[in-house]
Amino acid sequence: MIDLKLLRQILAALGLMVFQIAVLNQVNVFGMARPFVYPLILLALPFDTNRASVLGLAFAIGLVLDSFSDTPGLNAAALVLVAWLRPHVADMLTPKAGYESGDRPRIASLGPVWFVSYAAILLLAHHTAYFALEIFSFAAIGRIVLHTLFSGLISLGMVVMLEYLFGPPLERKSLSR
Amino acid sequence: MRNLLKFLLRYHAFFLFLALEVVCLIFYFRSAEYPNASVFYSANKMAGNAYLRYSAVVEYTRLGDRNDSLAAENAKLRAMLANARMIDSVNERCVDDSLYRQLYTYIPVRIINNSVTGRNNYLTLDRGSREGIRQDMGVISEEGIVGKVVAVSEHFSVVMSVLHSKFSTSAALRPSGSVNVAERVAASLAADSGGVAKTPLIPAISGRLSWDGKHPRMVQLIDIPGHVQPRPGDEVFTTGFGTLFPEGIPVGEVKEVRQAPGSYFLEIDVSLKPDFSALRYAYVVNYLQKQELETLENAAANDRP
Repeated sequence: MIDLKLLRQILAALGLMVFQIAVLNQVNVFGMARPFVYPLILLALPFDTNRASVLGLAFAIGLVLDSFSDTPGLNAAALVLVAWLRPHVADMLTPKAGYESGDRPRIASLGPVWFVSYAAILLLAHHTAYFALEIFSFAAIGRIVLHTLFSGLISLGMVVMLEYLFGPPLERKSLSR
Repeated sequence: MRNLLKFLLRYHAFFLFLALEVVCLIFYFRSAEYPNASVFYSANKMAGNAYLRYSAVVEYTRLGDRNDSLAAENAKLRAMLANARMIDSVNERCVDDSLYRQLYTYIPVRIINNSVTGRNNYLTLDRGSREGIRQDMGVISEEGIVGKVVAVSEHFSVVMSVLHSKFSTSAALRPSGSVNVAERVAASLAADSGGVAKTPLIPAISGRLSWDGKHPRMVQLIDIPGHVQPRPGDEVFTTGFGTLFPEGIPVGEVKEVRQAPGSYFLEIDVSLKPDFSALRYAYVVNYLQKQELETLENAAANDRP
């Protein structure tokens, strides 16, 4: 039973990576917005996942994506940052009553408001790191901000949509939050 | 010692994070400074083959466009055949073709991976060292220049696109704004000698081509002196300086001309002819005298005090 769940998660992660490489890496809206949805793989990991293994996973996923876009280390750097920030952002967003055991960082468990703020902060961190490193110029700081905001909005929309479409089914308690 | 171990264990996630970030950044900045085969994975078997399959699938959707461009190229080549021309002037000198020696050869390649969305873009080709591709060869498509080879494996090679912060080549234009001046000079010369004014050929002015990263169809031509008067629509082409491209390969046409801030030189927006996101086929340029030229230039550079 547990193996089946794990298998589903691995398949979902692979699916997201293929979607990112084959479709989204070719997308460029108005020359400034480039969506990234693969951080969702990390966002959706359970809270109690070992921190070190999340970091290792982020590094590995980042390198695989890099190998398909000829940007050695760029996706990996941004994703490792997300992996490190993840528990801190979760701490920051603790609901008033605190987390209950069995809570997962999904819309189904903690509700849309919590998930959107969680995803927004982490995607913002990811996109800022990505575009700052890619453009890497103080003179172009306006362009970094513009790219980050536009791409971030589109990525957030797609991540929330994917979470609603393919995430776990809504539980009753999430509606009360 | 025990306290140090305790400290490291307590914050092991943070230290792991720092270590991984440092590794990533070393990878990234090394690849940006010295692009070569060791850092480009898409020249590897795995990614290369994956892209080969992917492009085979995508290609079916573009067969129509591909036919059109092949037909256009055929028409162009046909127009260059000897039987499509005639001698329209008795002044023309006869040139014996056998006096010429091959200087460039072309290796046809298929582009199996391509990006235009980043600041530094690369393309992957389905041919490698086995087919004679070497590092630092130029790559052109039927419409214009594409980039230069930076990494080669046995079956694949990676090309630094024109759309890359480190790409730079020399390019030239014939400024049509100078036509009036040239015509007046020619007319007065003709009046002096009593002949008929011939339309003069405007000299090509060369500058440096690079990309500012803003728009994937717009590159910049810089170092063109301020007295030159290029106008939108003027053609920009390669100069044949260096070893990358033969002379006269199209680059694009002038879109907008600006004075570079605080400088005598112009900065010219050039709209690229090929749509880089739709590139599927290209030619790698093999310059046969490259080695001789480079040996000479290096020797000259070393002799300089």
